[in-house]
Amino acid sequence: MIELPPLSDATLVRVSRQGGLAYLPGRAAPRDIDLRTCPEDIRRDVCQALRQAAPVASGDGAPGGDQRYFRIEIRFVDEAASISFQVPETQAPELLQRLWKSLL
Amino acid sequence: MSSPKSDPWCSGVIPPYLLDRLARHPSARVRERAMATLRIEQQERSLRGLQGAAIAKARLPATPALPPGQINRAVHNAANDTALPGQLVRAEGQPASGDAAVDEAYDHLGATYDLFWQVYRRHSIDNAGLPLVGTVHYGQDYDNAFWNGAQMVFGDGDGEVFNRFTLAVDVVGHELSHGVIDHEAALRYQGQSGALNESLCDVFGSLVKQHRAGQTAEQADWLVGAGLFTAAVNAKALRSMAQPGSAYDDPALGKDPQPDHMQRYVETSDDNGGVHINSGIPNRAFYLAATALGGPAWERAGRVWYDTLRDRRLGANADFAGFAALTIEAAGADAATQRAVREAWRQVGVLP
Repeated sequence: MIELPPLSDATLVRVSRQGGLAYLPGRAAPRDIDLRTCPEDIRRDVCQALRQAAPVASGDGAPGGDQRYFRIEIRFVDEAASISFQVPETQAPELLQRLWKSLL
Repeated sequence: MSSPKSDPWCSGVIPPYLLDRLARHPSARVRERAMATLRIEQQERSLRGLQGAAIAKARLPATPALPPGQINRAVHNAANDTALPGQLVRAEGQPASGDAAVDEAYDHLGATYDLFWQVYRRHSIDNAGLPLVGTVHYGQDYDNAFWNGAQMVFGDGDGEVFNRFTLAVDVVGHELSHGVIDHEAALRYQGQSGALNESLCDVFGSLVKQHRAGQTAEQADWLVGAGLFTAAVNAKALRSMAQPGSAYDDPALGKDPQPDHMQRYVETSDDNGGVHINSGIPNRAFYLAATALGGPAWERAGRVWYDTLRDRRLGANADFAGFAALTIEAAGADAATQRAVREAWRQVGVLP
């Protein structure tokens, strides 16, 4: 579990899905959401997904045995304040999974 | 950074735009897939305070271990949900169900038990008769298979790039081997120790396949996961132990990134530090040792690798060189085996 800072100054969210039985470069690219330019409803959704993910997040120590996890990086106006964390796929909130798919 | 305050951007309800957007996708299949949601059961949420393996074990029914040599399988059906283990659909000794994924999982768990018992006298994952539990039809179009610390889980694949993951006996063997490793060296799933963890799963997964087919090292194809990809992509398998880096090259997948030599070791933060990438190096070392020795790979090279996995000196943070040194010791008094093993590690650049 992590505690998220206020997201009002967040500028970018980068999501990648890691792990799995094989590393496939064509499917490994991170997906970015630029919170400065995206529509308000998307920003609202992204922030909601982050808030739902935070209680099941871990700072490091990815699950083994080919289990997947999401790696999430949040950048802020103050770049030094950037944070990253991981969310096991089996515990990822539905909204985060939907967002991941929608960014295809 | 601003002072803490409530975020007005984040206080709304979920708008329907995502569902609308996905529902308008031109491909009917993508529409269906995208609309499908992976639901985490309430049970999952209530257990979030526990860690993964403990959660997984807590879900499984208590089953007594059988005597050595007696396998105890339980195949469950998640019915395209993500709650584990799902409904029990084929217990040990029950006839075929007619569901290909169920019956493949059952048969391939059997083939994996057979290798470990008949060749290495290992009684299941923990060498104490732990029941082999697998769940099939996990999730919606789920394109992965994994070991969650207590059981194996297999998706159906999306049907476009991936077939169902129970198809490949070596993949079932691979996942079960993760359980074996957890009970032995517990190699940390990061960097070189993680790549060793992955490689050992490929080694024993491949040996399951070869043992089942009665193949010698020369006859084996040394591919991991052959048959998992559909004909729509240019891919032979997930990995090639003989020629790492040659398993696939396709726009949808990219090119197989596995190195075959330490000179091409990949430093990356992806994939837990490249555990499925750099495993190509020890994979090829095993292939080279096994083919140099000839005959069934599970006999000489396989025995050396298995004994090394059980060597108490193999630490959770072992690197390639440390593992290689232990394999040479494990080859013991058999000079020919020791030479072949040492030469294999030398050829992939792990030993000078």
